Amino acid sequence: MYGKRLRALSIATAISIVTAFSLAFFYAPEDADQGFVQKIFYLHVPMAIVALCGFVFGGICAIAHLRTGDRRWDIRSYVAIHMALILGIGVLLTGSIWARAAWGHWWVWDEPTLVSFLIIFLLYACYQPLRFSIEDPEKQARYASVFAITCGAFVPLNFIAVRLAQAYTHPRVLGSTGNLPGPMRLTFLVSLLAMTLLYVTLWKYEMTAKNVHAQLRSLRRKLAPDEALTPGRRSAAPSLPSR
Amino acid sequence: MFAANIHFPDHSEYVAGAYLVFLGLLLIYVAIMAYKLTRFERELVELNELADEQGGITGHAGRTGHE
Amino acid sequence: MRRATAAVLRKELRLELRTPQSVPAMALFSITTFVVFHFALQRSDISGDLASGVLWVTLLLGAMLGIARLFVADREEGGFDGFLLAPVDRTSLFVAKATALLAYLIAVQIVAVPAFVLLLLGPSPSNVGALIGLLALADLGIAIVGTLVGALAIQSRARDLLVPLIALPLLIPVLICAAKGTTPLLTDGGAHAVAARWPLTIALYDLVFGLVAYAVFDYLLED
Repeated sequence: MYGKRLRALSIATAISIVTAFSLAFFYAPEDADQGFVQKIFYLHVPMAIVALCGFVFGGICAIAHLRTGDRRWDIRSYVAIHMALILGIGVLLTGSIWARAAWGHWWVWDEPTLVSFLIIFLLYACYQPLRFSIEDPEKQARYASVFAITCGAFVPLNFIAVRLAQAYTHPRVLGSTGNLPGPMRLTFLVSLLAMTLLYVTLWKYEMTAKNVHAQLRSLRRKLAPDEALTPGRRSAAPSLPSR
Repeated sequence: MFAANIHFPDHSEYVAGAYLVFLGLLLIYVAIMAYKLTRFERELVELNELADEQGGITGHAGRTGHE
Repeated sequence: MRRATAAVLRKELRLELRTPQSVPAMALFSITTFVVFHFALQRSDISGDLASGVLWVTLLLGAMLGIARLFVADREEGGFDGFLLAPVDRTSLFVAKATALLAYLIAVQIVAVPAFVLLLLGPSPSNVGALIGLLALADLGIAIVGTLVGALAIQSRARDLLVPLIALPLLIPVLICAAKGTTPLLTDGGAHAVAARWPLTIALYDLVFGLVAYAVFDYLLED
């Protein structure tokens, strides 16, 4: 049952997003050197943090899948990584816009977060092709879990390495999250909360949809056992095991 | 009422662009979910009819089939 | 487990010695790539960070060739099934294959690095010991991650495509640290030593991925 607290969660998400955006535009002071453009920070950085946590969460679900053999953990891992990847696209797009606004170039190599994200995105973009190229569903789930765990371990290492590569040549140019004055810090934390809630809500939403699909399939099998499964397009995406 | 306090400084189009990217991604997701929902509805209606059919055959002797 | 590892390793090395496939191909590829770089960069000699970059890109891409071939024979000729039937710890396959890949990489570099010095490098390398050390550490990382990715990709239909796509991003930290580390060694008058953080980071990477691969490899072999 994935849809249990979905309504309350969605309401909480909506409230926190509106609050976060309001704080960003009406409460947080304008940044001294970057001006209005710095407001993108309240969107870009929370998305980045949540996406990274999403990838690591996907790795943890994968560990659970390998340990218990329960396919539902694999679906949780798949959805987590899928959502984090979409957030990752958002991170790259908003980061690029920020770079253009602050520095005039659509891409900068000096910002370690953005560069790490590019690498991670390129890596996780292989997740779905890998899954879809293995036909046996159980093997597919196992291999995908190995991939998720390996890449989950890779995420922090990648950050360290890219940070090191930049550390002594260029200072962090697009603003640091370290020493924020009070109002900015509050706005940032609320934005972070909002983004986290959004991710969890969308994850639950997607899991519920997959459960509905699985239940429908199971119902169809019970009512029409001789019929070929689900007429029409069969997606290659993994689905919850139905009873 | 807030408009009096807000001045739109330079580069605001970039900030707007960034937030629009976020909104766009979210709405694309809503659209995909809408598509899935209509598919589920269609299938559920079909299965309901199927169940009626079978309920008609096994349950009531007088029934000839679904309407 | 050590005996099983040694047995598989001996088989790998013997196969490679009998009908050399991977190592000559990788070595030849490296030398050809140096020639390509000469024409692409339009330079007769390079030094410093450019030299470092050319060297590491070539070594990485050559490694991709070796990784792609690592499990092909097992997959096509039932080597996996044979191994699974034996009552041995499955991780020994990982250790054996990774060691074999490491051996291939070292063999290739014994040829490729002098070729590089001959063909493209301007200044003569100042601290050969440090260079060898960095190469060894990086090779270890490449071997570990390469074996893992090779085993991962071998079961899919698109294995030749997946190996570089997955392995290259995973190896970028190694590339970053190795390239930064060898830059002062390939510079004229680069007398200052390699900064400690580069080999340390590669060592950390090797450790983390060694542990991950050790923990996870079993699941790749289940039937």
